[in-house]
Amino acid sequence: MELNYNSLSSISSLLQNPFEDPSLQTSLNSTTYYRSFDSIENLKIKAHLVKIADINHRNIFRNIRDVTNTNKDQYYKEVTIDDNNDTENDKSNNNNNNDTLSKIDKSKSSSHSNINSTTTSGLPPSYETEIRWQEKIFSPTEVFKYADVGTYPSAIERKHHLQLENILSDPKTKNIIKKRQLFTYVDADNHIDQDMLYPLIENMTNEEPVTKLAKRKLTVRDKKRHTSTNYEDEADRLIFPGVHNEQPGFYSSFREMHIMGYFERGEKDKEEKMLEILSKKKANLKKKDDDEDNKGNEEEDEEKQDLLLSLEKKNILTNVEEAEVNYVEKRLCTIRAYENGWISMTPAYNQKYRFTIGDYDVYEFSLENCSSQLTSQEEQKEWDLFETVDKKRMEIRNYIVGKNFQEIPEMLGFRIMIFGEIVSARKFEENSIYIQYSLELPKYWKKNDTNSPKQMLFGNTQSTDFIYDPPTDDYEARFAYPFEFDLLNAHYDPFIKWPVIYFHVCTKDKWCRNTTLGYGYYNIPWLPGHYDETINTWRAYPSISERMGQYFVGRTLTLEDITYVNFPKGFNKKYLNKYGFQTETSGSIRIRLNIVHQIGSFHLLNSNKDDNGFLKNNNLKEISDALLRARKRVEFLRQQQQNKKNN
Amino acid sequence: MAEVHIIGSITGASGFPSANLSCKWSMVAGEEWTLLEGSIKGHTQVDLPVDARFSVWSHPIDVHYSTKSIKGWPKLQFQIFHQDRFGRNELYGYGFIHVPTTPGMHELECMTWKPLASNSNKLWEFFLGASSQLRDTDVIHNGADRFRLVTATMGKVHLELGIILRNFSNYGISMN
Repeated sequence: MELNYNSLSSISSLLQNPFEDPSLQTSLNSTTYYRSFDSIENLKIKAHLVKIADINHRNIFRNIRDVTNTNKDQYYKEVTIDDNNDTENDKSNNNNNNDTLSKIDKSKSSSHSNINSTTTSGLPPSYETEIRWQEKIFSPTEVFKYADVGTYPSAIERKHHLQLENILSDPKTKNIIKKRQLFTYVDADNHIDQDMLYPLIENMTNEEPVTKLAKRKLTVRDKKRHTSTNYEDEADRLIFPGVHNEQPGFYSSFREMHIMGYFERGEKDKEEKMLEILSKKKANLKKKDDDEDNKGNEEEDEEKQDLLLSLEKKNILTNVEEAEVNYVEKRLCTIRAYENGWISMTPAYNQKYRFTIGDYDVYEFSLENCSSQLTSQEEQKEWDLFETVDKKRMEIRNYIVGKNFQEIPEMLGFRIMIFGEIVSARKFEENSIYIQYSLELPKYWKKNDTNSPKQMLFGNTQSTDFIYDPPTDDYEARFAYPFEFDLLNAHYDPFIKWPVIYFHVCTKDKWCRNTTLGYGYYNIPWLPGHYDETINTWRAYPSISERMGQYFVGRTLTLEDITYVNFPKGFNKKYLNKYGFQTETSGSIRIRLNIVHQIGSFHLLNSNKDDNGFLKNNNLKEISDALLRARKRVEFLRQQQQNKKNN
Repeated sequence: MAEVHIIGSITGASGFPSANLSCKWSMVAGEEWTLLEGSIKGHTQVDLPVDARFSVWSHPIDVHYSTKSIKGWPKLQFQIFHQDRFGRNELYGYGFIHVPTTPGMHELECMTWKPLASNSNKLWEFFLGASSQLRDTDVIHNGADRFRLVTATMGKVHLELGIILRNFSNYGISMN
């Protein structure tokens, strides 16, 4: 099998067996998921089936020993046919075996599927076959089924028919098919196995797992998916990706194949099945009879009666039906390949599974991953390819992204952006409140009008009411009110006065009278980051007369200058005295801030200098640029100083 | 240009008067921002919680932006709808949140509110399930016109956002 280099690495190297210790399993329904970057077409599975007990050989344990001993030899030889080292090891292990025998085995195993003829226990020989992904292997029943596909075959039937004709034209393969014990259903076959629909509870082999209704429902649901995702070819799948999915995303589209076993029924089962098929046929015929009775055709009635009679004599079974009577199909493994690189196997490989057919026949089944492995060279090549693809992708993205970035205005080396939100408020004893906020810009700070024009440094939230918040056992008014500030300064300096946000909480009653509820302020932090802060507020404590005024006419105590909350405007004394002013505690405001600092490219150049201030890169242009910028800055500072003097 | 990855999920909602909620969300960013990958709009499923306290959506968000400026940092806006047993969708809240600027994982709660209807509208709302809504959803993430509104406080939307930044430091920007 050629490996596809578009894939990352081979399936065999990435599929990992989750079970460290392979032990016997009885359930064929446990699903294991694998992941592979390789295309699923490279998957190759070796299935191994052996009968270990039947009506004549009931002692399973004796037979197991027999079978495992004899089969082990054959088994390993077949697997390691290409690997010289291992065959030598095997030879040394099996000193009892003839060299000639092993040679015969070798030559036999080179054919695609193989039936071993040598067994010591009298049980039928073990059966082994290699199955590629979506490889159709016909069962003996299907040979009859697709030999004559009727007048109007569906696309898949026609395909199978042609394929089968090719196979049957070769007499050798014809014989192999007759003895075949393993076959496959590919994705296009749309096979639904009830076994997969409802997993049996282990150890309850004879119990009917679900009711008929549930069974029907499950089948219908799965059929829907199957019919909706069964496209004639890949192109259709691309045009309607997942459009027909009943529940979008629930079934991610996958392709599947089933490895099926083909077993002879026990005598009892055969009879039961025979009766079932006959009764079905009878019912069909009778139905036809009834239809024709209505039309009044009585002449053919006798003929039908003859048919019914002959049915009972078992003469009229078709080949397909006969095969159905004698043989039973059992799902042994389902492999699903999902589009995202998942591969699910039900059951997992490298495990031995044992199951019974009928009353006495016990089989052992195992799977092996025999996809060809990548050599390290090939893997290297693949990784190189991926690297180049990735590089190209990055180049394209870099081209889209570009390199330019918004500069802050010249002369001003430091920009601070504040993305804030007034989140909520608590403990204000009113029905509905609103908050006014305003930003105070101290000396040396400036609004960034070039980059964000028309920004307002003050605002009003909406008026909102309180709601009970169970986690905190408190009432909360929620604003979710955004504000954004874009400010400039000459350079980053935490020792000057930084902007302050003032909050003024008010309420508006039904006569549209505004009442102050609280004052608070918040110093913009010096460091960038994400802040979630609670600001406590207070309000002026009214005297008795003032309180009466508040109650009757809605008088309210409001600060003339809101900066009194912090350092009052123009304060430059040594001692801040607020004694004599009485306040009462009010509620609290919660705000959230995201602060980002940006430094102008002039300051950025500093990183190019070493400790002594010399430029590290002796690039002439850079130095001259830096000189120009320095001159501009000196001029700017001079002008600033002059302005100050003039003021 | 610098790049921002916003990866996370809208976990769910709590504190609303009744459950059966769905959330319509979108991300708003400034002019200088270009969306490289991911979808910036979505609508969650309607969730019927067992205990009616917390509706779980676990709706994924995975957005990759590139930007020329820090101005217009992306914001998330939400519209919460309540589905009643007749299948009518009633507006239950508007919410907004700034995407955090600091890199790392953030657990956030976004507050919501809804416009308070007049008494006649309330009657209308009760019988027809048609709640008053904003004509212009920009008000959700824009504070300028907010003072005209009278609103009712609603529940919270819970978010988990992971922020990954690239190249910002090259342009002299510090986030934390």
